[in-house]
Amino acid sequence: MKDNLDLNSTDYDVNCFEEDPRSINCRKEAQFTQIFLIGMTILIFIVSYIVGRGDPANFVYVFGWPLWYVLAVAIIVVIVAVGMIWGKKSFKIYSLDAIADDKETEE
Amino acid sequence: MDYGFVVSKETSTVIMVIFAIYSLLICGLGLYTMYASRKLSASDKIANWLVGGGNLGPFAVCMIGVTNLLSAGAMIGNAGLVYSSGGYIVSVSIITNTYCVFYLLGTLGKKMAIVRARTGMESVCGILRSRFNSKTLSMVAALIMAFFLTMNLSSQFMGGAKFFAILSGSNSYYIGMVLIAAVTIIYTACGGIKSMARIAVLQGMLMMFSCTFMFIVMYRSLGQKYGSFEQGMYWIATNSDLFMPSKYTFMQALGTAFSISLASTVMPYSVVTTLTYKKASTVRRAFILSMIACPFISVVLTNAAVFTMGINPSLASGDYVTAYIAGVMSPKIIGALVLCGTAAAIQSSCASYILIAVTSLVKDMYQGILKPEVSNEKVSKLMPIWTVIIGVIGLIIAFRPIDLISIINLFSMSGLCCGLFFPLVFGLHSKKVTPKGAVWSAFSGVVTYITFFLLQRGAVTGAVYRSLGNIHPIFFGLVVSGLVMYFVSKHTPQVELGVLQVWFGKTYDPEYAKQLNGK
Repeated sequence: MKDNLDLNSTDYDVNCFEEDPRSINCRKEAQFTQIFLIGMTILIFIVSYIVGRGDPANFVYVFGWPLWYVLAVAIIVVIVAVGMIWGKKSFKIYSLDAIADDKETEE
Repeated sequence: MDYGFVVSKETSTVIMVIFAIYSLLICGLGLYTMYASRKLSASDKIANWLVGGGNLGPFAVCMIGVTNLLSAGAMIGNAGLVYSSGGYIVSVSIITNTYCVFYLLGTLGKKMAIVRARTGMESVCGILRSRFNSKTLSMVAALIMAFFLTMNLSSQFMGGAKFFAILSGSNSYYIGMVLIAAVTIIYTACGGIKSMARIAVLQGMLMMFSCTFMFIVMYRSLGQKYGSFEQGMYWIATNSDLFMPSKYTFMQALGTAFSISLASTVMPYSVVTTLTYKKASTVRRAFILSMIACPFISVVLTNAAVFTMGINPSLASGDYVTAYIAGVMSPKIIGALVLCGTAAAIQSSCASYILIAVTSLVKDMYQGILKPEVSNEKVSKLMPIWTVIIGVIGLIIAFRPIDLISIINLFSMSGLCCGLFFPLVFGLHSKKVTPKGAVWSAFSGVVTYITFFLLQRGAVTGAVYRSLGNIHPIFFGLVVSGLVMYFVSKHTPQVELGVLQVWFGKTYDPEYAKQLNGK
């Protein structure tokens, strides 16, 4: 395909060449990671500020720690668990060489 | 000087002897790395120095990632911030760095490794240069990194010097600063990241031990002082504002979290970790290991800082929390190990900052742009020399310490994030980002961040800024950077087609790829 294209051109359609399937997969993983983590971070603080309103003397305490803090840490633990499961199950293993194999191979 | 506590002379002596042994061990490891790689060719030496030859195992990748992410002021700065102003809401912000590695490896990990295999790039400037084929962007990125990393480097020296001055009993800030810097510079100059990889394992374990111990000793002490741990916590809740989330506005707390977690993932010293392996399975294993190590250290360390408030609410500065626990609350030998763990944290951060700054200046600016004809042999010789120069500049800035080092830490991390987040993350995955879009995005992000940071800190403007919700300046920097990238990219020429093929194509021209890395 590259024979038909001027590699120094800056005026072209970005879809004029075949994209590496690994690149598409990396983009999907990146999108999932970003949306999931930014969303969960916002959720952590929403929960903290809602549950942690008012006078600390009237907070609910769990073994000495304020409930809002325990909940925030619990959400982080869930994120860690999801991350580990995702890393184990869905994180695709394929060659990171310059050119992809035709068949993605498990190592 | 009154720190709010006193460390006995006997304790200081034991701590100093153990610290001396640790320092010799670290320097010895660095020298061994240099000796072991003496037969390598010049280009292999550079690759070894920068990215460990690109062939590190999962544990080493994990430990480099963990020590880089957690040690950037974590042992002193974060504990200080929690104790002196933030309390538990800042603790939550800090714990969000738990998923930095998740974010880093999930967002950049594999793509970076593939492009490294195609172009041979070895640095962050190299990544940006090869993606946008723009010398202007390389220069802008190098200057942004040099500025913010040198600021951060100086804050690390400040933290280490304060710590050493207290625990050595010398009260000499300057002796501590020079000693901490000397050990760091020697082992970094000797071995680069390969040295870091070997030492990161030792340092990571020391950090984990130190933090765990600090948590246990303060948990027990709080319980003993108040009759039970719960009563001690209730005392802190009702006699300080550390338990109140509203101490920070929502946008301020969220911004602090972003400046710790989101920013950490695009820090040059984090990104370079993605160039240290060749297998996807290494990424996955490192990823899972990191997910366990990061939260553990963050939770125990920030909690130890809160417990300290119940035991000694009169520390002169939050930056003295770790020194107080090590020098007063701990047995001597354990205190010494906490000092070594803290020194390890500071040194691994400093080593990363120096490595990146030196790479940007020598390899990317000098060899890549200003004098492409310079040989690899000369570059290989220049690296250690510039390591010393950058270290000395950091020392000079640190001669005037500030009260809380976390202010400089967060400033430099947020500034780097505003400059690099969009060009790196979106440039890596989107085909539509243009070179001019990336340049203006980096520039406008940094300028906007610094402007709003100064407005927030200004004597007159600060009051108005805080009354308007005290939104963290990182939000303004990121929003402007993103919008500028979008609009400028829409109206400026795309990068050459050959570049896009190297970055996204199933096939590409290998000669073109080599050109992008200046080879």
